[in-house]
This record gives sequence, C-alpha cells and structure tokens, in this order.
Amino acid sequence: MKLPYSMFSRRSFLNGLLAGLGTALAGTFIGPVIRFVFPPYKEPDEVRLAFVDYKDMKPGEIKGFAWGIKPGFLKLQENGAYLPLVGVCSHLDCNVAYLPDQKRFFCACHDGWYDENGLAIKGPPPAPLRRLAAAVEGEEIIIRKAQG
Amino acid sequence: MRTTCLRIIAAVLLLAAGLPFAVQAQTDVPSASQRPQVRKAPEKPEVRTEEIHPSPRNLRERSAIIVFIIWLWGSIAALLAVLRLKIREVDRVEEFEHISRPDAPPKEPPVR
Amino acid sequence: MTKLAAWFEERLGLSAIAKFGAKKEVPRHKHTIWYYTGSAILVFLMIQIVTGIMLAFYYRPTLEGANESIARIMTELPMGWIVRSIHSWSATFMIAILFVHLLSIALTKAYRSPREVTWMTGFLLLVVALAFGFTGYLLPWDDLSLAATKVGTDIPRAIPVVGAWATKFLRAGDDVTGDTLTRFFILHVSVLPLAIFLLLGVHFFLIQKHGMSLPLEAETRKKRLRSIPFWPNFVFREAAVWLVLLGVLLTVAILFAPSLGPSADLMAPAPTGIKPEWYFLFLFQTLKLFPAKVWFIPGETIAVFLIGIGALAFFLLPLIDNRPAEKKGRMASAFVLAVIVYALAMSAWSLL
Repeated sequence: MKLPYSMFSRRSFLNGLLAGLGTALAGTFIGPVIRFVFPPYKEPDEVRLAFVDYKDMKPGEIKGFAWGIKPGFLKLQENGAYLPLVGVCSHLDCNVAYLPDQKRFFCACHDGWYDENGLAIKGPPPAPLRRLAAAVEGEEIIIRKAQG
Repeated sequence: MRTTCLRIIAAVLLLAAGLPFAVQAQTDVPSASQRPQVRKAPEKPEVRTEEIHPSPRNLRERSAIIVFIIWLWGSIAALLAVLRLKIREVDRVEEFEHISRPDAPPKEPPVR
Repeated sequence: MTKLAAWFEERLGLSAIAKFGAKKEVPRHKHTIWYYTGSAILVFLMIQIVTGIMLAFYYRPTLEGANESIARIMTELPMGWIVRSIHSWSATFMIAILFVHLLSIALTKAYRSPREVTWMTGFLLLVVALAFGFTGYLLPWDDLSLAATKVGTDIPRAIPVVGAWATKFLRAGDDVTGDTLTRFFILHVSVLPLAIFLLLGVHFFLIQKHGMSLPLEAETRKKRLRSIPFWPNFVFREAAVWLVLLGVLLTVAILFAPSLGPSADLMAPAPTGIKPEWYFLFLFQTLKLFPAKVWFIPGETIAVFLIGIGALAFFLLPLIDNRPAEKKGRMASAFVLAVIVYALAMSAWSLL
C-alpha cells in the first residue's frame, strides 16, 4: 500500500536517525561506566577456619570469626553442630555485639536485641541474623553460604 | 613555494604521528630478565614482581574485543553517513537562505 | 517558548548565548581544516576528566597503596583496564593535537593583533597540559615512573638561584618519596584542573570576542571569503571529526593497553632504558647533549637556560613577530619551522 504523501519530512527523518544512532552509541558507554562505578562486592564463597582455634569451645559458647569483611559468630550448639551467624543487624546493617553474660546479641545503633541463636527478640530488627552453613573437614571448619 | 613547504611539513607531521606508537611499543615491556633483582620485603607476602599486561585471557574475550571494534566502527560509519546527509541538508538550507535574500550584502567575515 | 523556558530566560538570560552562537561564522579557506583542532582538544579533555574521575574513585595516592590500587583497577574492576588505557592514550592524543593546534596557529600567524593574549593563554594551556602529563606519569608508582620523576624533578635544580627551591617544592623535600606522590596527585586532580579551567575560560572568551582569524592573504589581498555558519553547519562537520577521533582512540586503547610494572622500590638502582613520555623526549635528549661542565657553568644549566629562552620566545612570539607580512614574519616562521625540525630530530634520536 503506497502512501500518497510522506509521513515525515526528509529533515525530520534525518534528525531522528542522527539522534537515534547517536543515543545508541552513547548508550553503549553508559553500561560499562555504571558497572565500573558500582563494582559488585563479592562475599567470600567459603571461609576456612583452623579447627584448633575452636576445639576448646563449650556447648552454648559463641566465638567470632571473619566472614569476608563482616564479623561472624560461630556457636557450638548442644547437639555438637556448629551454627555460624553473620553479625550484621538486619535493621540497618550495623555490626552487632555478643553479650555472653546475657547470652544475647545487641545492636547499639537502635537498641536491637537477638537471642543466642540470632532470632530477633526486641527492638527494630525485622529479621533474624543471617545463618551460614558450617562443616568440619579434617583440620578445618569450613563456613559456606547456607543452601536454599 | 609556501604551499610546498606546508605540504612537506604536513607530511613530516603525519610521519611524526607514528612517534607515540613507537615509544609505547618500546616502553611497554622491560622483561623480567632485564630488571635488577627486586628485594622483597619479608613482612609482605603478597608483593607483586611481574608486570600486569592487560590482554584477553581466552577465545571468548578475544572474540568480544574483535566484535566490539567491528561494531564500533560500523556504528561510526553509519553515523558519519547520516551526518554527511545532514551536513548537505544544512548547507543547502543556508544556500537557499542566501539566494532568497539577493539584495542583502554577501556575508563576509570581519577582516582584521 | 514554553513557560518553563520563559521562567529561566527571565532569570538567566541564556538566550544571548544561543543568539551569539547563531550568528557566529566560520570562514572557509585553504586553512579551514586547522579550525577543527580546537574542539578536538576539548573532546579529549572531556574524556580525560570523565576517565580521570572514574580512576580517582579507586586510586589510592599513597606509597603503599598506589601501585596496588591500579593493579586492582586493572584486574578486579569491570572494564578497569580499558578505563585506564583510555586515560593514558587520550593524554597522548590530546597533547599531540595540542601541538598541531599550536603549530597551525604559529604558521598561519593567527596570533597577530588582536589575538596576542589568546596565543599567550594558549601557550600557558600547553604548559598546564604537559604538567598534567608529567604529574600523571608518576601516579602508577612503578619503576619507570619513579625514575622519570626523579630525573624530571632534578632538572629545575639547574636553574640558578631558585632551582633548588623549585625542586624541593615539587618533590616535597630533597628526594622523591611518598610525599612527592601525594603532592603530584593533588596537583594532577585539583590544582592543574583549576588552572586549566581558568585559562580555558579566558582563551575561549577571547576567541569568541575576536572571531575566527583569517589567513594573512585575506588581509593583504583583501580577498572576499565565503563563510559558513558555526551552528549547525560547522558543528556537524566537527562532530564527524570527533566521531573518527573517538573511534581511533577506543581502538588503540583496547588493542594497545598499557601495562603496569611492580611497585617501585626506592632502594633499587634505576632500571635500564628509562624514557619520559614522548612529548618530553626532545627536551630529554637536549639535556643529554650538554657535557657536565662547559667552562665553569654546569652543562645542565646552559641547557635549561636555552630551553627557557626558546619557550619564552614562543610565548612572546606575537610580540616579537609584529610585522607578520614582512621579512620579520618570514623569519618568525623560519624559527618555528626550525624548532619543529629540532624537536622531531631530537625525539627520533632519543629513540635510537
């Protein structure tokens, strides 16, 4: 079906083409620039701890370890399994402290409290402390991200 | 005489344009054998002793580079074609404006 | 005009700029091609600013962190090596086109009255650009850049009276240390950008004020010249040039990305084959020409003195060449040509 007249002028067609191609070329650079300026921070896939440092723990005791650049807490549970927790408050990302005499985690930023298993019990935190998975392999305890 | 001089200068400058490339190629790689032994500080276990050469690690990256360069020049060529048409158009418009005002004095840049 | 545009117009009055731009004309003659060099320099400057900021986000200007941070940029950050490569190559391109710009203006004598101050600000801009290159070269803190900086900051010492003080200022002390690095970093990202913006502002204002210069023949033969409007005709032509330059820059940056040596060791002997960046080669070679002592004056002092005279002659060229159409003008052109030949010959020699 041939149109009796052109839908747009030659000038506007050229302008559109120029603007479109120009934007496309410019657009290709925006992606890499953004990726460069917002680099992905990768958490470690796994952290290996020397078992020697943790073998003297009593059931119910909690000891700290480094999960990348974040603090981690390793709890030896009653049944002998290890429970690793990420010591970052689920409210606004402050590092929490463990108070052994009260057997609770305390976040100083906004008065948040977690029990010894990381469940939020008082204050603003909306969720429990993040859990990881621990496995003892030979001379090491290997901490990984929890599956599922 | 003067134009010949200028043409010779232009040719020399074009050849001189190769200078930065020659220097880059030369300064890039002092190989490990030429370098004197670097004394490693014993406390820092991670002191790097080799040069870092940014180069593609596998076929995928090499192909990505070639594809990008082809795409880049392709889109530049397309843009240049459109620009050429656009320049012709604005030149035409300007000429018509000129013609449509035959009584107005011809536009002359200020001679200083 | 829309209501919003009218609101801004009443308060800022920016349409005056648009009106000026609409009237600006670019004369067409056999030397019109050199008019493209100015905006080309600006394009590379913009690229330098953007890539420079991106690199500065991750660069650490300390003795311990500098080399490592660049290694991190090149290996860990996405596209980091490309950003660094573009920054490095764009510096080369910018200074190359700067030289072309300078020489085209010198040889077409566009510096003649009333554009003398434009020329002088332009010359100072060249000095600032070279200072950018010099300060930037130290920042990776590898063996080559450390050696180049030691040599480069030693040269001012040859100037009598103020020399030692100048070297101490540049080095932040008597030797090149971590303090030198931090000082060069601040010069590179703060002081020199301020200088370049101030100088560019004046340079730009003067160019718009006086309009595009014409070749000598137009004045002497009173030839009537055609001209094209700056907007949109000339700008679209310039855009085509920018596109090609961008393509060449990206291609070269991706295919010939610079490497990074290990962190400099302040105790190690100087590596073999140290060379400054290509734009300093001819100065480097000139210094090598002079013997340690000529009579009782150190050779270096004479070399620095001669280079200083040459630079001053270039800076004051419009005042020296105040009769461009006559014999004096031809002698000035001969001087400029002689300097070009000298610089090229010295650069080539230093590579052998």
